[in-house]
Amino acid sequence: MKPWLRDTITSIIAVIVFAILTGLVYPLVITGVSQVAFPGDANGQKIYVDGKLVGSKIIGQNFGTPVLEKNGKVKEVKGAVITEPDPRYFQSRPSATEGGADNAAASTFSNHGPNSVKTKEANEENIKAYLELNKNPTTKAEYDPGLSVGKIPVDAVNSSASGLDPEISKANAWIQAYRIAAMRHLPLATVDGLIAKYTSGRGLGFSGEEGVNVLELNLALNRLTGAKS
Amino acid sequence: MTFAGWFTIIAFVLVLSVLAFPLGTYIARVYTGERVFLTPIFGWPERFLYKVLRVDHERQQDWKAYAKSLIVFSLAGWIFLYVVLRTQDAFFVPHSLNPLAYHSAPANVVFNITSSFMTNTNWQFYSGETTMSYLSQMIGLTVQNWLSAGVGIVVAVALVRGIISRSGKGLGNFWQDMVRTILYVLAPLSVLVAIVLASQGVIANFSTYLHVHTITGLTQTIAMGPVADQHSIMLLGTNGGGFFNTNAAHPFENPSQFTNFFEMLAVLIIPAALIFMYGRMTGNRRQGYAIYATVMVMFLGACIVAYIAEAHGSPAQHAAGLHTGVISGSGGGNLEGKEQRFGIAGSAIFDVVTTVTSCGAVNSALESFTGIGGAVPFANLSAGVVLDPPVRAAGGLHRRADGRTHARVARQEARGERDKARRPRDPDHAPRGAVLHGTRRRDKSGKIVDQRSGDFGEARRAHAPGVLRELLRVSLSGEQQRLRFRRIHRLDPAERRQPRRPRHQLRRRARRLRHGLRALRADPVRAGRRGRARRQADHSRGPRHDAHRQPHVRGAVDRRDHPRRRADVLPRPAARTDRPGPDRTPLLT
Repeated sequence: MKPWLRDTITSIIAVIVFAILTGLVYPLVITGVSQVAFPGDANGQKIYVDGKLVGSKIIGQNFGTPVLEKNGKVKEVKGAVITEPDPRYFQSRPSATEGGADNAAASTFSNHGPNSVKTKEANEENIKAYLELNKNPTTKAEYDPGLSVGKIPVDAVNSSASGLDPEISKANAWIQAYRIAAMRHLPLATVDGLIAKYTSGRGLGFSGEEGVNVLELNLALNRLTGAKS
Repeated sequence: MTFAGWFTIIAFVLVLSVLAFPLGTYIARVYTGERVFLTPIFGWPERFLYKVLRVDHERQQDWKAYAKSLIVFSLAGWIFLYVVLRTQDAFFVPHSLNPLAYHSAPANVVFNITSSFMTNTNWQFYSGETTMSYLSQMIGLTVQNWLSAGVGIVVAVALVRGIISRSGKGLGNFWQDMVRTILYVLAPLSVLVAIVLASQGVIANFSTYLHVHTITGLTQTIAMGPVADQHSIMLLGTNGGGFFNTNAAHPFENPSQFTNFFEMLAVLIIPAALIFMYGRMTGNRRQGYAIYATVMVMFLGACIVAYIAEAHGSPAQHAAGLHTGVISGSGGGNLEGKEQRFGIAGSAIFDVVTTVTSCGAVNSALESFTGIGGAVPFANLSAGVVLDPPVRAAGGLHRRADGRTHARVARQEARGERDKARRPRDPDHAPRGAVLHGTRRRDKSGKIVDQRSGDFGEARRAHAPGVLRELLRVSLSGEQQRLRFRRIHRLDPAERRQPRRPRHQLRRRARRLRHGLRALRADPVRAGRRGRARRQADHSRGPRHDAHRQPHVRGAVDRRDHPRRRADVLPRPAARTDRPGPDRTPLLT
């Protein structure tokens, strides 16, 4: 047999054999072991409330309410529901996913450059929205008395990498806590206590940053005040 | 910048080094065919695979055969992946493995994906969760993640073998290396990493996408899939094509602060181990350490620059009035396109890690990095990838000016062959005298034997048998003889009385077959410096004009040391003043 023919035959057999081993056996083994050993983690850490699926613990959500048009219909732009943040809930980080914020079926980032005017404008817009959200609509005073542009933490303004960031910084949560406490008539200390409870620490004590899980925090608030979702 | 951020950089380098060293030893043992602790488990599958592939794994390949096998194998993999991706929506694909009934991507897109996955580029020219079925992810992309990573490692190993063997004939067997890479190196690590990731929240299931009604009355669709297995091999093989569009930034691929650190280790562990493997396989471990140290210094520098730049924040943030410093409860910095849980340090290091290895798994948007912070990954990419196996091995190539590797490189295969093309290493006076001038001679059968390219020892034995021993003594220069005697004089008086000792030092008996062919060596330290010894040694450096053979006796007595000296200014006739100057009359008036 000629060498190149032998190589070709061997290659074809090898690709098929390796495809079965690494493309079928390996994924099935890993998935099977994970399903048995870590069923919660392997299935996306689903959270159920009263038997209803309300989300995944590690996928960020949009805690907004749909904006209604005058005729009572939900306002949509290109199929994406337009929402406004619900002040009764902690708000996630800005998200750049298409088809509405925190679209977990198509993760993406903003791709805004560091020196771009577009980035600056997006930042300014987010700052404005954040200040607006944390302002009492009747008295026009900030819930957090010390809040100003310079005090806003960066994670509340910059969009996340996946568009699905489940966490916000503690500083961000502390500022929003004033609003939540006022809206839900809770003592501030209780809200801060919840924040501390749902803060994930650094990995191994040094890796990464501390973050507050927004979905868990909001669900805990609902449980506390008895509000229905 | 925070203490935890700096500590992460230091801890990462330390943990990586501690883990990579034993792994490098292990990999070296795998490729030199030694027994490892996994041999009892993978021994029979290995032999079974050889039988199935119908290869003779003992057969050594030269570089051409090795390259041929590699290229044909890669081509077969290319065709396979192309067919898999193009038949994504074909009738034989079960619905459970394509739950959203995604159509195949167009031919040009699939061509792009296939080519980049086969070459370990893994340019993600698609958005995983909106393009690929589960079957395509598994049997298409995951398989190519394994194979292209295997091919990359195998090339590095073959290159190391090439450096060791020098003859180019014993590069090993491609199929053997490939099977061993997959069974002994990638499989155990990949299963381990996948299980750890799955335990930390990386998903692994075949369910359809979740439909969620959120507590504020909105709906959310969450993409699912068998992620843990593909993500694990994608990191270990420095492939980089993620399951989801946002790759290692997606919470289902990189769920926590810990997994971020763990995944960075998974990316760098094999490239770092291969450096130690290089040192071990060449028998020059210190060279391996030196390369590792160099690479780590470059890596640390890149991390530090990227971290400082990112922690400083971007001009767009400052223009919008944001405060980017560290405040209580927030790490600050340029968080555009970065995840809160990774923070600035976790994102900056990850992106240095992924660009030094040409991995391409990203946990943040590189486009949104600051100018300097983004220049670091860019420089890493354009510098041709600091830690990529083939390039790295070439970086460790040390050759002398005449093309030989250092004699320190031990464990050379085919020792008998290795010195065929080599000229004598020692200042070897005897064969010069024996063979006299000219490099080509005829042997008994009339065949021309090239003195330099042929087998040196054979030629010598054929032409000057018996003569050499005499010439050996004759060609000892006065200086060397003095050295010998000086050593004798240095003996203790008690030893001088032993009559056999000095003679033994003068005339050594041939301990090996060729030993008698070698000249007595002058004291090596002095011989290197003495002018006459150096000049005699130079004789063995190839053909020269005959006049060059005796430089110290050529030329006039007073100019022996300055053969080309000229008088700087010789007397000339004085300038003549009576000559007319140049004619510069204008042409047009």
